[in-house]
Amino acid sequence: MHLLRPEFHDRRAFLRRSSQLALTGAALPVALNLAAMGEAAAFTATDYKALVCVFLYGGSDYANSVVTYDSPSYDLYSAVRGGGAGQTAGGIALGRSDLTATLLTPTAALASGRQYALHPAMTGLAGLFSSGKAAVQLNVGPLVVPLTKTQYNNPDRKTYPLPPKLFSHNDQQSVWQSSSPEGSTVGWGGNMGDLAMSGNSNSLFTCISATGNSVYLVGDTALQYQVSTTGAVPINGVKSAVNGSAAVKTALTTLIQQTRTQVLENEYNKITQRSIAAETQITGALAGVALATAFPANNSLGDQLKIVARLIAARGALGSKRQVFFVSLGGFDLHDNLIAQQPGLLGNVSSAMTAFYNATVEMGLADKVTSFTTSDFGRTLSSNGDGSDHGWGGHHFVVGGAVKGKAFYGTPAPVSNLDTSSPDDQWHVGQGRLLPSTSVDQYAATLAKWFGVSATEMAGVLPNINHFGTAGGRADYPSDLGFLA
Amino acid sequence: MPDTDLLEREHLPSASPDLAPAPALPPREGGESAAGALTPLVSLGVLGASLLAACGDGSGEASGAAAQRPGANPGAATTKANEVPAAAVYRFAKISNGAYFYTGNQAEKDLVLRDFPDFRYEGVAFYQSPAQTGVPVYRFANLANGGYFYTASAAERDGVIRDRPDLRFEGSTFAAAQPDARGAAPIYRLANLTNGAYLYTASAPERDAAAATTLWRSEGIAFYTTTPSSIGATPQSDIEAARFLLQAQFSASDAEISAVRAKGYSAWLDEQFNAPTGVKAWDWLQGRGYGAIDTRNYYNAEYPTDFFAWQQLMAAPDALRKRLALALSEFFVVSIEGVSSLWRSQSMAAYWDILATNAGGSFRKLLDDITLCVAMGVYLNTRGNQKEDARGRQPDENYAREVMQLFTIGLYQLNNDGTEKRDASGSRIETYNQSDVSNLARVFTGYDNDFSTDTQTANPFDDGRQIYSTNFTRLPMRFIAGRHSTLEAKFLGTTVAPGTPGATALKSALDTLFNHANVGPFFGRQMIQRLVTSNPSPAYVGRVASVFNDNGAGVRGDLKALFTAILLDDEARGPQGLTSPGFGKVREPMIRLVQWARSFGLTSVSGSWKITDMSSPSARLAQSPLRSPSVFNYFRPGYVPPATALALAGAAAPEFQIVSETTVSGYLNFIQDVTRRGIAVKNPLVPYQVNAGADVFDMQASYVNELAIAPDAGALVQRLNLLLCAGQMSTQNQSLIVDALTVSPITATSSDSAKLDRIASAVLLVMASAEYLVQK
Repeated sequence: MHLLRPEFHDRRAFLRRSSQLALTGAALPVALNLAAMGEAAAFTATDYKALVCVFLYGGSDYANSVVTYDSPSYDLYSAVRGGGAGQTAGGIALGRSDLTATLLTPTAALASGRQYALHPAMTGLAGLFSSGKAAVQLNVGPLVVPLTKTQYNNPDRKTYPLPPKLFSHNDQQSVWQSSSPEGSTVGWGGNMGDLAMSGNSNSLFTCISATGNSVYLVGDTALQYQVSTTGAVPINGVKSAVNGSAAVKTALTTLIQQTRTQVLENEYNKITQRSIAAETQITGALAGVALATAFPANNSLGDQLKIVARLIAARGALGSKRQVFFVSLGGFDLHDNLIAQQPGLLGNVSSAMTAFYNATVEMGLADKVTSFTTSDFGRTLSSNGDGSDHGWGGHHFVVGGAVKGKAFYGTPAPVSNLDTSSPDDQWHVGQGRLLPSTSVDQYAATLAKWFGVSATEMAGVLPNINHFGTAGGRADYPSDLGFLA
Repeated sequence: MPDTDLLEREHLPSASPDLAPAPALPPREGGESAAGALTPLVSLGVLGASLLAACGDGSGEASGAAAQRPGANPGAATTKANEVPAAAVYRFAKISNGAYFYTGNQAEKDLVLRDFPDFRYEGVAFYQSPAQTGVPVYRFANLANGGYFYTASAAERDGVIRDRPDLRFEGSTFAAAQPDARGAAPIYRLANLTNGAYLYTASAPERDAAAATTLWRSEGIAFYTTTPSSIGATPQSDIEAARFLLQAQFSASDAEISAVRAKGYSAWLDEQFNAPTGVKAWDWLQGRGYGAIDTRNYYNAEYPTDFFAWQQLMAAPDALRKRLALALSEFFVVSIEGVSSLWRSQSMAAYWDILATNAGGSFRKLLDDITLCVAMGVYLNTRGNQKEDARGRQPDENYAREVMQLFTIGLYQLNNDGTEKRDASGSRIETYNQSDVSNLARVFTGYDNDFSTDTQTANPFDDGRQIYSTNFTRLPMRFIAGRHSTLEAKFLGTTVAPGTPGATALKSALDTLFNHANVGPFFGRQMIQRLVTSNPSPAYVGRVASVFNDNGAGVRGDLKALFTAILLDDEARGPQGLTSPGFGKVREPMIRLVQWARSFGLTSVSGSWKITDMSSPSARLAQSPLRSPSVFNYFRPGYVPPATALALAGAAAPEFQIVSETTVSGYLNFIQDVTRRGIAVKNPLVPYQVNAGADVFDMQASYVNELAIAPDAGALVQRLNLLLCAGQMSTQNQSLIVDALTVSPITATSSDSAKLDRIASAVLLVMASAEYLVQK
C-alpha cells in the first residue's frame, strides 16, 4: 500500500480529529488553551528549538541557483541554456567567471570532480556554507517510492506510483507541505506541532506563519497562527471607544466574538477570538525584545524572518519550547525574464536567511534554530526562450548552527536534457526536469528528527516515510540524510 | 398534541443516566460479534425506497408536528414568515462516545443545549416535512450508549420493539419526506460498529468519509428529506429582493429593490444584461490622461490599474455585468502583479473590458479573446512564445497548462454534476498529462504584440528608447508564422497536423477545450461559489452545467443563460439556505468595500478614483481587484479551512484562505476608518500617484438616506440590515446594535457630525458581524 494518497492521509487525520473532537467537544476552550487537547505523546524537552520553513513560491530554478561549475558540467549546462562562447553568459545561462566568488568548496570534494557555485547574488549563503553553517541538499523532490527513470516510464503505477499532479504549482506546493495534493488539510509542520504543542505554555504559538495561510503549519490539533511582519495587529475598536462611544466598542467586542450556529459564521468569529486573545500576549511579549541584528530593507522575506526572530527572542515571555515557523517569497515562476529577475529574488533569499542566522547567533540560539528552503518544484534545464518551465526535483538550503555545513548532501545529477539510454540521461524526465534522488520525506524526516520527533512518531508526521530508509528496505534512501547534528 | 410532547420533564431526565459517560459498548451484551449484535437492525437496515414506501402508517404521534405550528417555531415568532419557512432537524453529538441525537423540536433542542453538556450541537442536519404529508420517523433511545436510533419503517420499528429491550421506544418524532416527493433527497444511515450508535446524514461525502474508516458501516438510505420550494418569479418581500441583488451585483438600493419586485427576477436580469455599459476601463484611462508619454512614466505604472478597477466596480452603471466580470476575473486570472510590460495598466484595462463585454455573451468567444489579449499573453507567456529550436529551446508551456487546469477542464474528469469520475479501481481520472501540455504548447507559439496601429514617441528621459502608443494593448496579439511550431500537436484526442496554419490550429485547440464535457461543471461550479455558496449541491451544479451545455436553444456556453441559471436556482433563491448551517460564503473583502461605497452614495469628488492597492493583510483588505497573488486566484475553489468544523465535514470555504488573525483585524480597522471618514488620497486633482502631502477625503459616503433616519436607531439598523445583510441579521444582534447606539442620543436637531458618528458606528457594527460577513 502506497501511502502518498490523499485518502489515506485524510483518513488518518479524520480518525485523529474525530477522537480529539469527541474528547473536547463543541465548547472548545479558549483557543490559547488548546494544549489541553494535544496528543498524549509530546516532547518533554526543556530546551528551545525552532524550525523555519522558507517557501519559494512559483518553483525555483535549480540550475541557476546551485549552478554546476566544473568545466565539463558547466559546458553542458551552457549548451542547453544558450550560453555564450568561452563560458560567457548568454540565453538563460550565467557566465562561469561570474560564479567564482560564490563557488562552494565543501570539506569533502564531490566525486568525479563535480563542483557547484551559488547564483552570484547569493553571497550571504555562500559565506554561511564556507563557515560550515549551511549545507546544500541536492535534487530533492516528492517521491512515493524510490524511482529510476525506467520505473518512472513504466505504466505500472501500482508498483511505481508517482506523486499526484507533478508539475502543477498548487498541487506540488501542497505535496511538499503535506504529502497530498491541493485540498489536503494537514501538513508535516503542523503534525510536528501536534507533538510539540503541549510543551508550550501557549499552544497557539506553536505553529506560526508570517505569510499567508499554508497547509504546512496545520496539524490535527495544532492551529496555524498568523502574525504580520510588525507583530500582532490590534483591533482598534476593541481597544478604545469607537466614534466616541464606549458602548459601540463594547458591542463590537461582543459581536465579533459571538458563538454562532451557522458554521461559516462561527469559524470566522473563532479566528477573531484568537486574534484578540493572542494580540495582547504577542504585543506584550515583543515589547521586551531588543534585537540588534540588521535585516535587509525592501525585502519581504527579510521582514518576515525578522518578526520570526523577534518572536523567538520573546520565547520566554510566550512560554515557547518548540516552534515551527513558515515564511515565503513569491515570484519564482520565471517562464520569462529569468536572468533579469533571479538576482533580486535569490539575493533576497540569501540576505534574509543570512540576517536571520545572524540574529540567532545574537540570541545565543544558533544551534537551536534551523531554517530550510522548499519550493513548488525545480524547473526545466531547457530554456523556453527567456526562462524555464515547471519541473520536479531541485536543490535546497539548510541553514543553522546545528547544520553539518560546508557539505553537499544527496547526489549530483548529470547535466542533461537528452533522452537516450546513456547513464548520463537517467536523472531527468524530459527537458532536464530532475527525477529526485532524495524524497521530500527524507528531507523532512531529517529535520523532524532533529526537532525531536521520535522514530515511532515519524510515520504519523510523514505518512510516506516508511517507503524509504531501512524501514522500506532502501538504505540507499536513508530516512536521516545526516545534515543535522 | 401538546407543545411539550417531547419536553415532558420525564423524558430527558429519565434519559440522563444513559447520557452519562458510558463505556463504548456494542449495542447488545453477550459474546456476539458487533456485526452479529446488529443483526436485527441490519437485516432491515439497508432500507430502500420500497420499504420506506411501505411504511408510514402515520398512527404514531407525530410529535414533530409541533414544530410546524407557527406558534411553536421560535424562528417564526421572531422573524418574518418568509425568512424561516422550513423546520429543521438538529443534530447533536455525544462527546463522550460519539453517539448522535436528532431532534426537530426547537424547545427540546434548547433544553439539550442548556442541560446536557455532553451533547455537542452540530447544527441543522436536514429538514423535516409537514406531518400531514410526510412519513413519521420513530425514535429509540439506546440504554447502553445514550445514543438514538431512528427509523421510518413501521416494520423495522416493530422488530426493534420486539427484539431489542436495550432500545427504548420513544414514539414518533419529526416527519420525513415521501420518497417520491418533489426534490426528495436521501438521508443515509451508518452504524457504529464499536458502540452501536447511529449516524444519519444528508451528506454523501460525510457518509463516505465515515464509511472509509473501519468504525462506521454504511447502511444505505434511512429516509428522505426535502427542502420546501418557495421560489416564485417575483420576490415576495424587500428582503428577498435584496438577497437576490446582493448575489447578482454588489449592492441593493431602494430603487433596485422596488424594480426587482415590480419586474420579477428574470425580467430584471434581462434588462440588466442589456443595460448600456458605462465608459470602458480602457477609455477611462485614456480619458484621464494615462496614455500620455511624459515624465510621469505612465507606460510603466501599475497604479492606474487600481484606479480604473475601483472606478469600474464602484461607479459603473451596469453593476450586474461588472459583478460578473469580477467573478470571471477570479477564474480567468490575470493580475497586474505579473504584468510588468509596456502600458501594463492599459493592458489590464483591455483584459477587464473583455471580461465585462463577454459577461453575458459566449464562453467560446471569451476564451478566444482572453487567449490572444496582451495582458494574458504577458501574464502566462504566450506573448513572445516561440517554437522549439535545434539548441533544445522548447515552447513555453505555461498557458497550455493553465488554460486546461484553470480556465476550462481542470485536473480530473467530472460528471455533469461536478463530482469526480472514478475508474474501475476507484481512482480519479486525470484529464491530461504532461504530453498533452507539451503538445498543446506548440499551438500557442508565434504570438506577439501588434503595434501596427501605434506610433512611436521618444522616451522623455531621452535614453534613446522609442515608446509605442497604447492601442496594441487592446488588439489581439498578432501571429508570426516564422515563430510558430510546425510540429504535429496531439492533445486530448485531437491531432493538429504538422504545418497547420496558426489560426486553424488555435481554433482546433480552443474548440477541443470548449467542447470538453468538464467545462460546464468545472466552470459552473466555481461561478456558483463566487456568487452564491461555497458548497453547492451536485444537483445544483448539474442544473447549471446542463444550461452551459445547452441553453435550451441548442447553444453551448451561453454565459447569460448560465448566470441566470445560477441566480434563479432553487438553491440560491429558496429559503433553505437561510437556516442550513453550512450554506453561503464569506463575502470577499473587496466586494464588502464596493458594497459599502454603492450603498451609501460614495463618489469621487475629483473624479480621479485614486483608490490604491488594498492587498495589505494587516492594514487593508487582504485583497484588491485584479491583484491576485498568482494565477491560482486569492484562494482556491477547493480550499478547506483546516482544523475547523468545515474540515471535519469535508466542506470547502475558499474565501477562508485569506481569513486569518491578521486579516480580520486589518479589515476591521480599515472599515472603522473609512465608514466614518471616507477614503483618503493624496492630491486627488492630479492623475499621477503622490505619496507625500495631506490626506484628502476625496471619496466619502454621503449617507444621505441614513442621515434622515439617524435619530431612530431602530429604523437605521433595520435599513442597514436590509441593504447590507438582506435581512439576515438576527433580531438579537439588531437589538444589541440599537442598544449600543442609543447610549448616545441623537435627535433631528443633532449635528450632522453626531449623526454621522451614529451612522458610521451602525455600519461598522453590521459590517463587522458574522451574520453580514457570511452571505447566505
